[in-house]
Amino acid sequence: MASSRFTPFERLLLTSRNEADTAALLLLAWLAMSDGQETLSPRKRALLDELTGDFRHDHGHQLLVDLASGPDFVALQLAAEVLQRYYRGPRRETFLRQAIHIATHDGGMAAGQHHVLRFLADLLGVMPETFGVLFRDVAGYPLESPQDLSKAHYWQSREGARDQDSEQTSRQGDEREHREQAGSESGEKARRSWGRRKRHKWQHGHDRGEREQAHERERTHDRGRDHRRWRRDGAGQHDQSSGDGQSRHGGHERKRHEGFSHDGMRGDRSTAHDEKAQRALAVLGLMGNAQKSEVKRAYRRLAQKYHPDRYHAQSQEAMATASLRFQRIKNAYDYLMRQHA
Amino acid sequence: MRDIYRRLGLHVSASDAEIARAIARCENNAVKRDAEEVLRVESRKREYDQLYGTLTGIGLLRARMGLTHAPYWRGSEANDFSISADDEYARYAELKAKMERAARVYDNWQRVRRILRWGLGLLLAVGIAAAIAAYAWDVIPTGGMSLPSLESLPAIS
Repeated sequence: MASSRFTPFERLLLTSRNEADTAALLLLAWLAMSDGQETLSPRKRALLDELTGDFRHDHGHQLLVDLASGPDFVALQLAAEVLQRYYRGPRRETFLRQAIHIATHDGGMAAGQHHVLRFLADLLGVMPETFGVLFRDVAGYPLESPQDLSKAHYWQSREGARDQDSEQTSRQGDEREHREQAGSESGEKARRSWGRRKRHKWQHGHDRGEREQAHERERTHDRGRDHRRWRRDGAGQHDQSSGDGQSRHGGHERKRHEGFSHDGMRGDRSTAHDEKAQRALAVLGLMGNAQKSEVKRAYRRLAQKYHPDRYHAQSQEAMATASLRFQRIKNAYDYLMRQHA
Repeated sequence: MRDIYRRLGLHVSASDAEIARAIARCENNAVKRDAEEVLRVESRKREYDQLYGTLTGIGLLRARMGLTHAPYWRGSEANDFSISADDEYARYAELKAKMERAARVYDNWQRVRRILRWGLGLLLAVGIAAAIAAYAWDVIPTGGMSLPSLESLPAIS
């Protein structure tokens, strides 16, 4: 017993309405802040607020943000222990989805975020295979291995790429600005296009084996040309890769459907609209171009299965998870109905 | 990511001069080259140090929570940033112990308070009784309380 006084975070936990949610919030804030920037940007804070809107804790964020910026590892350890104790079953998946969303919403992840995200996955006992599927579902591209900042050639390739790409990036920058002006949906699109590029990089690395780091330089150099090539013959490669994913995760039916959704999504990839519709269909466990009646039937089935009232007798935790899941199903259904109308 | 500081035999807080000396002394060419590239450039060193801090913290957390052999902790990160596992620091248990102690202290305090309250009440009662007794003692022997004599009363006709 080191000190006998209660630390600020302990007090917060004790006064919180739900200590698991408080702990989760601290860990998410830590994840958001390990992106290499000194402070939490207003955008990240807004995202954090939005994602954790249904957390039941009854306190402000300021203390948590202060603790996470330290970072105070004593508080983080306590939060991690609380999370490990309370988050079981499907609640873990929901939490990891939130975490992945926070880490990837700016496009790329910083190396620190890679490590924090992996720590959270290990903490909750989610195996790499499952986590990989989850990551691809939320982010839209596969999980890569983090960059090695201790290698000289990482820096050389990074700065080399910056010189060579300077023209290109400035053009992209203009484009991005333009898109940001156009609105949030365009922002989404920019993120996706980035994701596409990442996806491509991953595949390229995959083909060549594990020597990613060593070839980083040429790869960034070739990126523009390869990207075009990939777009041309992308479909075949993707079928193959998602086939792999499927056979590996054959047990999880819902996840397999999500895998399918990506497959279809990449196959035609015309607009963000299509992609969203495919995603919504995947939530309902349907394949591409499903009829309205099928959607309705699937929705009724899932709604009966996952309605929060069914979990009424169980713990508050199970109830909260069920309502989150139900909300996702309902959102997907509403979206598809709007599309069909 | 590797821990360059450890390979150079330095602490993270080492000054630039110390780093330069250690790099000059270093015999492993690969480490030497990487250290030159990473630690001698201010912006790179800042970024490296930041990630270094995060990884050190994660290493500590993993050790404390018994996650040093989890699937996502491998390669150079696991080699360089793991510390030996010690599960004697269970923060949640610590919090519970603290809470239990606080509850005990509270209970004891309540008991003491009850005793004090009774004690005070008793003391007050004794005090009042003593005061009354003293007053009575004071008044009775001097005859102040004596009844008026029969003669002094007006006769009843």
